[in-house]
Amino acid sequence: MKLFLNWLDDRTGYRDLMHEALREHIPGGARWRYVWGSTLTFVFMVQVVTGFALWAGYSPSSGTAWESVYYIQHEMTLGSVLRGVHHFAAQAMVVLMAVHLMQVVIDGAYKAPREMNFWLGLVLMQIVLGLGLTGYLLPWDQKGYYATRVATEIMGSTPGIGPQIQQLAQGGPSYGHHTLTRFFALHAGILPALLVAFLALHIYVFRRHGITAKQPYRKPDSEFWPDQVLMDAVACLAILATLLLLAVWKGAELSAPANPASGFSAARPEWYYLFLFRFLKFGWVSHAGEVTGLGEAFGAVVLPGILMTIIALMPFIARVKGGHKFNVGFLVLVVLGSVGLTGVALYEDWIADTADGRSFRAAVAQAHKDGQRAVALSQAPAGIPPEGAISLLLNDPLTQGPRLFQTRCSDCHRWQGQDGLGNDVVQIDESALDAPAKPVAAKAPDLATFGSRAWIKGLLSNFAEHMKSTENATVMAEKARELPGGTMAEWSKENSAALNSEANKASFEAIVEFLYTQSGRSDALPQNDPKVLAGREIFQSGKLADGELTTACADCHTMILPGETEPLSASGEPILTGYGGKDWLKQMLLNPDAHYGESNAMPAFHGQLSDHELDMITRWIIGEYYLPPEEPTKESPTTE
Amino acid sequence: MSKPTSASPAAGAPAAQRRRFLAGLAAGVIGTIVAVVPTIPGIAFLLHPLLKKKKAGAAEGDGYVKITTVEAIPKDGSPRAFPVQMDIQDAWNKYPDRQVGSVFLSRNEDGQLKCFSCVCPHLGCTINYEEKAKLYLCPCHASSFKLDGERENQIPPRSMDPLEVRVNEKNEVEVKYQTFRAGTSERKVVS
Repeated sequence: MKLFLNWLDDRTGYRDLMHEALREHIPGGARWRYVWGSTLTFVFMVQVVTGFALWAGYSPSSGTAWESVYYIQHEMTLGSVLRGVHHFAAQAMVVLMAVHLMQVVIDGAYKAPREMNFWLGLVLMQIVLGLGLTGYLLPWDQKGYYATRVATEIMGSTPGIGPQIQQLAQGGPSYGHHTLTRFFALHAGILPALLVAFLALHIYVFRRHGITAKQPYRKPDSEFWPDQVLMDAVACLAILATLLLLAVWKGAELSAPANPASGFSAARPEWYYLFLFRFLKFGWVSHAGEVTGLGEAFGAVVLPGILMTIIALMPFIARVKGGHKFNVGFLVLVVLGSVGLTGVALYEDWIADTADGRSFRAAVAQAHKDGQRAVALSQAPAGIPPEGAISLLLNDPLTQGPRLFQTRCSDCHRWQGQDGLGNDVVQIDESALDAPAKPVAAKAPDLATFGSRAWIKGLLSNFAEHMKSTENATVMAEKARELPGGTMAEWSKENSAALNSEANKASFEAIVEFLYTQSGRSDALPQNDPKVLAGREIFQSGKLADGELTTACADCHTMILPGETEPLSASGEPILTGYGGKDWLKQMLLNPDAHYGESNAMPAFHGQLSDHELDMITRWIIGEYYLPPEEPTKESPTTE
Repeated sequence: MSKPTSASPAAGAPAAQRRRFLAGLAAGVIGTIVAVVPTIPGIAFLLHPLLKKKKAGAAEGDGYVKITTVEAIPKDGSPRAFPVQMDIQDAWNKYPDRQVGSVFLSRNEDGQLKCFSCVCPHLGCTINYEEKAKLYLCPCHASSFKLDGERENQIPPRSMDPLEVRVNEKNEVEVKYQTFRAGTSERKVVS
């Protein structure tokens, strides 16, 4: 063994190298305060290792980026841990960098002869921030997409060369495949290579000047090995444990695939850019940008640039009397300012009971829901089609239906008392935006249970109550207000007791079942089921087990049963053929007069909804969409 | 690393040396842990193709794929190549009804069907059928096979790979499409 090591040393000189690496002189002995540089190097190595592995699973194009990240996160071995560690280590680097910088300034380690190394460190800081920015886009999810777009728009708003820089970053006038290939090349190639080069120089120069020992010395001088190495290793272990814990416990989020066509109200940069984000929201910053002609670049580029320049000049400032104190004070101010702005931004988003805060939190909840839905659909047996996962959401009734309901229907109707997207329908008081919002009464029935058995029961036995909300109607108001007192309401009043009597329990259920079957929904019984046939008989004759209906349904309503040439009843409105089914509902939206004739109180949406929109909203209302097996009927409108 | 010798003559040294040894040992152990642990998920991730378990229900039915009708196959025993269409799952994407390969189908006078994979058992190129020579010929390394699939020279390690074939009630030809390991004399299914 010794012979071999001698041979090896002879050829490589590894002993000198080891000696050089481990026998570094540490005046005053090892101390915990010296670990920061080592931890940064360690976290960078973690990024290299996890990054290379992630690279092997990642596909940079706008049709595959989200999909490959989804696959890494949810299908591949330890993919979620890997991605989680990479995600949190990136943030750890920013934090450690700030600590490292503060310590260097406070301990005066930036002063001569270490100026050059101080500047190398500042360059490294820019590279790390660049890595964070470019990495955030790569999953091509809503979060990363919109946050990064803001960053490139800021680039583009820089006077002069801004638009050119923006185009170069984006790989064209707008976001697309080449934005990803370029960001990926920066993130996985150019920036890491630069980082390695500058880190090597940084460490080399550091070794040349040695550690900036903190006075007074507590212990006799020692060497890097073993005490300082042990402290460094323990610090790295603590960081690693934290990263693993966060990766397993919280994990890296993957929001819904980027959709350039839809807005994203939950857009925020990564938390360590929040201070800048909040800074740009100040009125005076925008104003100064306008006055100076620099636009957004004033707050986002010029001012931070001035701060960075002052920091870079610190070695020179320190030569003046009191300069070091100024430097420390300045940095503390910058850090406190950033922390303060971050705190304000977090408070406004997550705690403040303001209109903006509330809508941001609602948008985050919605984004979270969309992200989960995109994953559920990707895991469905139908899988991700070649067009990519975005088409899954665009063609998903459960995703699109509520949005359409909110914009088109929630003025009058409600969905479980809300607007379909899970928000209360409130009156917005322009003069007091942040005041607690007042709920608005519905002007038409709640459609969450539309067409269900419970709905039909309510219509038959308690029509006036069921249609009560139409009293508030403002659209087609006259007709609508008549409904709770119309002929059907009267019929319902007269027959309610009979239908609800114990003796007619089976009869009532049968007629409900017969009507429900017309919808052809997945849980509807076949037309020839005995229960349905019994209901059909009552529909036609009005004869209950005990007594008789004042008027049989067939006397007033048209009903043509599927597959039968002879109509069950041929005249009268509303028409109940296919009641509660997709086609009936489509007709109800396009041309409700066709169903309800004279007594219709619903505006027609003919020409206002595309075929696709019509398909999405009707399928959502009747519950025709994919649900993952773990949570069946959780969102199904038929549950009550 | 110097070993601590409790009987060291240097005054005050034994305790300091022991301390130094223990610190070195701890630094070595913890250093190894922090260096190795981050690579574990990375390695597991890269080994995913070997580690992943086949998803239950991935293969639909009994593996037979509809190829063509009986009538489309020449009656004189000469083979014809037919494309094989099926759904493919490529990592995250699902492509419905894509061509995944082709098979040779032939029919003799008794109406007996024979099916061979078009993939050469030598190194996986696609075999052609040479009408004039009545031979299957691989364009890559000149593997050649007789009409019954027997290898005609020693280039391929085994004869052509036969596939199970059946006719369903609609008179359609179905083939159990499989791929086999190339380059080995033993025929092993690639799953």
